[in-house]
Amino acid sequence: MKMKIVNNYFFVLLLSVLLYACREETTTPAVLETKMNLKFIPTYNGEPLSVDSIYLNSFGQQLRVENVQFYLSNIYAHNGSDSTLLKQAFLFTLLEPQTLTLNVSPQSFSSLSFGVGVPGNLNKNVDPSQYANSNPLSVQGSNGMFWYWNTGYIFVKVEGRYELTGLPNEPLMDSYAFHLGDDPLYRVLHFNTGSVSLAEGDARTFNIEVAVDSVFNRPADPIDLSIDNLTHTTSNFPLAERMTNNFVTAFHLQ
Amino acid sequence: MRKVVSFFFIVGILAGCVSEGLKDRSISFKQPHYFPSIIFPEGNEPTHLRFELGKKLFYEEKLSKNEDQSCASCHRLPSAFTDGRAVSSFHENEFARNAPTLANLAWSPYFMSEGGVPTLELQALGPIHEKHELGLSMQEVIDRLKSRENYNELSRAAYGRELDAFAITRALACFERALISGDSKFDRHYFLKSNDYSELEKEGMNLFFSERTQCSSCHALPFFTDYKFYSLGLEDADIGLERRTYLEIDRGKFKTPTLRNVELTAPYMHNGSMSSLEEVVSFYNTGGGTRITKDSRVKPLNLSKEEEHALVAFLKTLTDWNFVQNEKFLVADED
Repeated sequence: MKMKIVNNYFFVLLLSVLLYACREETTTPAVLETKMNLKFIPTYNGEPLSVDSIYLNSFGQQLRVENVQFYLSNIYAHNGSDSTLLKQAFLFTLLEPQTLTLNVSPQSFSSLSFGVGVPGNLNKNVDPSQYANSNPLSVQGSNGMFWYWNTGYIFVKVEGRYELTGLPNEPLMDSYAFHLGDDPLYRVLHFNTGSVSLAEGDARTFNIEVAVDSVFNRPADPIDLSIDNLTHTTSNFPLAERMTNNFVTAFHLQ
Repeated sequence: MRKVVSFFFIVGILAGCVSEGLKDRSISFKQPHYFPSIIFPEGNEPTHLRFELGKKLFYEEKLSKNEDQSCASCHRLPSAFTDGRAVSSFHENEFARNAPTLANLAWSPYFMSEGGVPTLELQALGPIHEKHELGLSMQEVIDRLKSRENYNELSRAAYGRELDAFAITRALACFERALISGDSKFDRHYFLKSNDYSELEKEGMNLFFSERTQCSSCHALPFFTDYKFYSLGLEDADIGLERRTYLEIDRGKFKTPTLRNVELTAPYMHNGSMSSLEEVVSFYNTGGGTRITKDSRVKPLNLSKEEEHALVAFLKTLTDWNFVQNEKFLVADED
């Protein structure tokens, strides 16, 4: 009698283990992430940008690029009239190529778009201390890209040094700084990608060149550093607008 | 059995000690009945520990790059939270300005001379980051303070989180909102009908509220400011409100400063260019400055010398001595 009870217990236990094992196998399918990589590559005259290089602008002035920072926001994939938000905001410091990796759902699209800067609803009268530190719009995450005297984000910073004679071996003693921001300077860029279909587990990289020379040498509006070498937007809004228009022509989907 | 009971008894006591910590409690700020009620932002209603944390931060020199300046360096209690200097930046720059008083910030609809900052909480970020003022990043501030004294403990008790940008800005704002000044001789005379003005002070008050001078059209009751932006015609490199609006018609316009405690907040104007109240009244009497954006109400007043004296005498009745001697706004010397 006692042996029979033990056998029954053993049978129930064995059945439970088997059932549990079956459940495990059938309810945990492998998750394959779908990734989209946006690789931003800074260049100057078609070559990789170097902070050690001295470049010539359209006026024969020598310049060095020491800092390029900018916000991209509202990164969307578009398929006909359907749009999928991929990322709300991201802050780039772009002296070397930098890749933004997005975990996305499987999808098809034919174009991408993003804003250069921070859109109005996230820019004015917002409190960056409400965001977690990991958010690029937070106090720490914004890394100096926020104006505290008149709340709002600095959309783009381009900084460096210049020299006007263009003669070799002349030291680059003067500094230029373009700090661009405020709602009127927010720009949205669109890029045709052709038909793209991302299935589960796919990883696809898009290379986007950021031609920093466009900031200084856009044929329609070259920048003479002897005159235009500083704006914090409010201190010289017309120049900030020109620099913004130049900067947004720097992005090329390769 | 007895040993088991004793064991659980001791564990219970220890657990009680651990969970004790700092206990916070709501507080209210004493304010005159002739001021409107304060509307506190959600999540930053005043509590004892929020006020204490804010005060501690306000006087904390670790907030500055060289650990030798704090908010209180430019906002000193005896001077109604100003500093007596023409401009308060630690380095020369085109936007260095005269430090404003911090009295009655709880009612200000926006902050900074251009009004570009919508909340007191956000305003706290400005001086910390500004390279001409305290000049630190928030991460540097947190790194310095986290290891020091009981900042983290205070922050957890006051805001339920480790010390961070959120807690720092809210605590500073909580302290600054408590800086309420409404107990001057004027308040007792005008609102409480004490009727203890001298004849000269009465004459000055009548002039101040008259159509002839129109002082009170901008320096309006009860805070002696309408929080709007005007140019007095002063010519200097500071473009004022234009910096925010990009409009030339806003050049040289600044937010109307409160006149409460004005006797203690010299020198005057956004650039601290006038050293005495007598000089300010004389400036208005002669029609102000020459900048084209000057407000039309700033024009020659044809006041006699005696009338100028009367206006100055009246302005001196706006001093709230209880406010500038209130030790609750000071920290005990920790050294």
